[in-house]
Amino acid sequence: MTELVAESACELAGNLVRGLDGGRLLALGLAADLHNVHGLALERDLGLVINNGRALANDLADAQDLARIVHGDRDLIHAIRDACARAYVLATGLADARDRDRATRAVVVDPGLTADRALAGARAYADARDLARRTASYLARDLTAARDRANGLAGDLTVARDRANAVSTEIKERDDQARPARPAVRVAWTAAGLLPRPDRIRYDLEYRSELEDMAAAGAGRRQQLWHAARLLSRSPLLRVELTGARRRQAAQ
Amino acid sequence: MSKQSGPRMTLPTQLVLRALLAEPAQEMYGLQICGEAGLPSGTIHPILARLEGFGWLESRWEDTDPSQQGRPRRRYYKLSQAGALRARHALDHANAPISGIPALRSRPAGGPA
Repeated sequence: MTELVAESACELAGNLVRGLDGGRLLALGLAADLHNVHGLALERDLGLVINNGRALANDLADAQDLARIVHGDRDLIHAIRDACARAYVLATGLADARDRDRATRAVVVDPGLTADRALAGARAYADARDLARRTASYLARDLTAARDRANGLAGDLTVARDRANAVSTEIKERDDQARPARPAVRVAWTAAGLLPRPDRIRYDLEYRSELEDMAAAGAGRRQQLWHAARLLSRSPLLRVELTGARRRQAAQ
Repeated sequence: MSKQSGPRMTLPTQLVLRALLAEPAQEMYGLQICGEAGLPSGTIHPILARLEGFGWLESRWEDTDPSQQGRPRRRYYKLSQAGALRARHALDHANAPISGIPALRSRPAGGPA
């Protein structure tokens, strides 16, 4: 279970790193594009970045939960929490920039436009563009920082996953060692099957218990098999004893 | 047909009785008795059944929850009061000079250390 969580956390962290890197590149490209004004492209790209920012914030919220479960490292959890909060702020800031851009363009395309209003609209539009460019630059910078943190998280989670895998393997090996060998169990079951019907279940359970004890004490398959073989070889004698005891009991 | 009042005192039976008489009040499970008696594991059930059949021995399932213990319940054996007396008497009169006989086998895994 733990290794599954670690595995998914690791996978999520890897996805985050890739997502953050993609977001950073997108933001850098957007900041560069914002030097040239293309209203429609700005609208579309901002929408994309806003969505990415929100998805990023949600992923980081998930990562925060997983980091809490898997890792428990306070600094790491705080770093993700901060990145998460920043991603939400960025998404909100970009949404504001988009709204301003929309409002500016609405003024620019107004057919009943006067020269003063057109000038004011153009200035507002230029301001909005500058604001969007600056926001995109900040976004790129913050996403770079978030990506670095996510990289650290991915590294930590990889270590945690490897450790969880190692622990899981150890437990499985210990369980396998502590479990009776199947052939021995089958032979013991056969030995119990040769006994009088009323005694079969009791001896089957008793033989199983012995094999469990042997396995827990570190007895190998061969030793368990020998034990079961001896049980089997003594079954006819045990049968005689059990039958005799029952006869004596009936005679009394 | 059988007029036997007690079990046959074979050498393994004597070894088992001695192991059980070492601490008569203490319950022991099969592998433990094997270990104490120095008999190979898996060989004592006919002896235990014989002793139980004559009323010398009592047995019960371990009073635990297997799911909590992580293993099946053990079957514990203990000499009955009458059985302990008879066993002592039978061993005193047994022909085999059992003292000095080394353990037939090394202790089985799963038995007591």
